[in-house]
Amino acid sequence: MPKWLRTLVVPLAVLALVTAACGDDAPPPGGDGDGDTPECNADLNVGIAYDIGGIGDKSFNDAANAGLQAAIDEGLVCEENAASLEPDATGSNRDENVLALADDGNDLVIGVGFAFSPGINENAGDYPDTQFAIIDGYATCGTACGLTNDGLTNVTDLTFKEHEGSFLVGAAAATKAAEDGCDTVGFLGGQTGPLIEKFQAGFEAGVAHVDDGIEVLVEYIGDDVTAFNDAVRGEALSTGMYDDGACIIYHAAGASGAGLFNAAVAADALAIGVDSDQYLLVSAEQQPHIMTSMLKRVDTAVHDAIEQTGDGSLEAGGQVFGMAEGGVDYSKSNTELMTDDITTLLDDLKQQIIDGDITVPEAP
Amino acid sequence: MDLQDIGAAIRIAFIYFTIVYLTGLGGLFSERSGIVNIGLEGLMVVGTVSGAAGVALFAGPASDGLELGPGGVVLGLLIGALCGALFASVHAVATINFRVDHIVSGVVINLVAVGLARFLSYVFFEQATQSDPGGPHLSRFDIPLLSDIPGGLGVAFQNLSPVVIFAALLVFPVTYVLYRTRWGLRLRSAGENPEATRSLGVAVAPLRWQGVLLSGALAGLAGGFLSVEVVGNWREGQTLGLGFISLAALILSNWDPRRLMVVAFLFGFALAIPLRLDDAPVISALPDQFINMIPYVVTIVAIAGFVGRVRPPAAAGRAYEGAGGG
Repeated sequence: MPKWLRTLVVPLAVLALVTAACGDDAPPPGGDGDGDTPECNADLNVGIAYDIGGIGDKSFNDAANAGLQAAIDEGLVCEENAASLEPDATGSNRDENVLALADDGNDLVIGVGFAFSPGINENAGDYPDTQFAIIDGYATCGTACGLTNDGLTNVTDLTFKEHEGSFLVGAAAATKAAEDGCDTVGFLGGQTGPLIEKFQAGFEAGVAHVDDGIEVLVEYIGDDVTAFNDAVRGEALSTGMYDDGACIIYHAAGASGAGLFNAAVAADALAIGVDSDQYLLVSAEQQPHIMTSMLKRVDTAVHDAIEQTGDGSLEAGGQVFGMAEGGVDYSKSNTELMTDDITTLLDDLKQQIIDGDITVPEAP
Repeated sequence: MDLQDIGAAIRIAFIYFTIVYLTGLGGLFSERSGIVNIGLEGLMVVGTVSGAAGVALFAGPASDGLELGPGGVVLGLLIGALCGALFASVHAVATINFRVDHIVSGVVINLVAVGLARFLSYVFFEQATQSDPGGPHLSRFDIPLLSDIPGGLGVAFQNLSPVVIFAALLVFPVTYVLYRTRWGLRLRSAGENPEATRSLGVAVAPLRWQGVLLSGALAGLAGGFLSVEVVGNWREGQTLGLGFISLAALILSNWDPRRLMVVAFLFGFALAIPLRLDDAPVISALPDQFINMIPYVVTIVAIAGFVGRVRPPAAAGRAYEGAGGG
């Protein structure tokens, strides 16, 4: 190979690789662009900044994307006016993504995850014409939560009453345990802290509501964010609880939950999923072991935020999605285990929570 | 705490042992040949995604026509090892042929691996950060006799992946090859004194290439074991620094495959303590964070306290100028 050719080949190969890698961006699922959306609100521009995992995580980010697609299907926003950005593997460019979307002049910028709170708290003041919304956010908490600014007028934190949903699956677990003559259930948390303690508190209250003779074992995987991605520890701690007599374990541990499901199969016991309907995501071998899941309707929150920005009703501050707002729920996909008796009971409890007859505690 | 907890902790230790030992052996081959490899974590990362992809290809739902069963899983794990070796060849080209600083190249391997894994994930799974959970794996089995130990200790030897046994048995062929064969002697000499090796008419570069490729294959296999056999799916970031723990184990073992086996198990056991033995005497009084530090503290103490006894291959990390000519 002549030398001039060799010097050319390397940069060309690199260029080809880069264009191949970047040019292959698949369109987000759902937005197939079949051209049958005749009318949409062309005045609204929406940007979504996803968190680690991105589209395709079958969890948080996918749920947010589903909310966006629903809004597009309803014509609340035009498909070409909806932009999204995904962070790198460590999430270090979260804030840059948010600023890029704000700089593009989007009317609404949604950060999908609590980790967006500090950045948006700091920068929202520079974009008075942009509304910011954060899933699980705490940006409006301001200096009380160790952030820089108070009194933001264009930031909305979208939070969920996870404890209410956890109450229902706790009641389901206790009912099933009592049926099977078992007196212990378990809770597997990811990272220690108030967010996951809401799940624990609701679950414990739900179990006690049905049968206060049932003991709830509690294990947390760790005290940093890797606790949500450590299936090995998740499996080890779950096996420990099953060995100690737990017959059903509920997890709020993100991807570490995969370890719980492995442990449930090995112990021939039951598990309860979280966030999305995990019965639909696991293998056929695991499905009989997934009793139900606590559903957190991130899609509803995203959809509503877009709708409210469109009609100008989105208010700064906090917006809480509880049972009454359709923000949390439980799944019935495992029809074998979610018998009519149990679903009737849970739907009754659900109504009592909505009516305010039952108040679910937020802290254990 | 009872005997069953100890048995369960040992079983967890076996799982960490398998990952740390396979990856550590990989590092051992590389460093014994004279190439420092701190890219083990990155090689493992590539193994996690490509191993899972291989298994999905040969044993997953999409492979119905192949009907390979457990053979398909083995084939998939080998794909993980192969991709690890391929990726390690980047390190080999850089350090052996272009004489790049071994640490710099290793850091690059670790950094590139994260992006490469995501790219491969798009190619294989059409998702950025994970594959579908609950994928096929090899059937678990109980070790005869040992699994029947009464009192709960037998739990340690039940429901194990065959890869655990494979890793444990590797100590025999590796020790034999390294200390009893001509190739092993030459590999070690390339790491101790490449000039002498060359002066005896043995080419250094091919030996170092073989060492680095083996490190990629073994770390890739460890990654595949983690994603396929332990977790059941690939997930971004699931290696959680185990490649670096393997590196620490390798140093503590003094680059000896037999001692590495012991160290890998001890590290595995240390990682298992907070999971099952946190209510044991003494341990219950210590904070979790302290227990989690044990492998690293032991390594630092060992290196600081046994300087002279912990001795890396003499030429490890040094470029061999004659390598280009063989």
